[in-house]
Amino acid sequence: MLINSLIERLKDPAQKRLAFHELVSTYQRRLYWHIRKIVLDHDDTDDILQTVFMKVWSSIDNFREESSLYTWLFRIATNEALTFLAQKKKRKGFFIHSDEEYLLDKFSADQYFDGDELHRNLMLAVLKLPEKQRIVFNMKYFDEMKYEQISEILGTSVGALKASYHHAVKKIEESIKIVIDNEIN
Amino acid sequence: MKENNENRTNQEVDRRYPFQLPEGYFDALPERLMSNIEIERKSPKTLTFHRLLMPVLSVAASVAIILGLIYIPSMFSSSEKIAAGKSADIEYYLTYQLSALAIFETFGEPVVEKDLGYEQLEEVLIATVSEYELIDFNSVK
Repeated sequence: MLINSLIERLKDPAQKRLAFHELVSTYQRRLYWHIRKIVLDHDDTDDILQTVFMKVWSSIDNFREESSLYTWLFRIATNEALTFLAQKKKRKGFFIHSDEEYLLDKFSADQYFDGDELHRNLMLAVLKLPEKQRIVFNMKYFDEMKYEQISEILGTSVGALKASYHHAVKKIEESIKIVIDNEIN
Repeated sequence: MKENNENRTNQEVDRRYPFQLPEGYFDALPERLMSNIEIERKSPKTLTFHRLLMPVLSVAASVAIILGLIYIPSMFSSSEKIAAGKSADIEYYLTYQLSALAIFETFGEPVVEKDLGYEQLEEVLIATVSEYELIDFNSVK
């Protein structure tokens, strides 16, 4: 699919509906999993993903193509997911002490998790990371994005991203090592 | 920018994450979104009308509250407070606090010169006040 052609058709009222259908079919999976790794819950992810695509529908005419369509979509999705988490924290107030606590609760109750013990330990270790490190790790490890892409989406320098990813990997290794040591003993 | 990870198949994308999702979710999502767009396209007129009307209603309500605060207290003026008073208090006031002259002036009786002598005053009273009232008046004096 030619991305430039898709953008042109999205901006053409006569072709917009068909082009939008094509855009959703093409990017829904990647955006879904990107959001899901930030908020964890399927229903929350569904709400956010719909909001993202509705925003794309209403603001595609303002898309100036200074970044790629892929980067633009991921930037909207990341912002929406982080805003959702912030609002959730604000609404729950006293009941949530940290994002980590909220996400660990969500993960424990997630009926859709179907990974093995190794996956579970990896996810638990990732959820204990600070927000920025967690998002960088997800994008680099799970989505296999390049640092340059992540930099454009998050608006952070490549150097800072490398440092974040390095710290995240170290912390995850330590967390998993503690779990394995406990199991052995 | 080259989007190397855009070329993964759907199965490759889904397989990387240890979570499941409801069956047929991605098949249904595009249609659900198109329905949402259709609903939004049909409803903006109502939303716009409400959004336009809300500030006007807010201002009208504020003005009504301010006018109410100004005029409601003035409705309970002193004359009405007197009117609402007990009849015994009014009788006491008329009997002991007002002179006979003031009473006549209040009820529009002929004005009597203040320097009239007792006899002249009696003549005026005989001419204007009934016998029963006169007896009553004499007993007060």
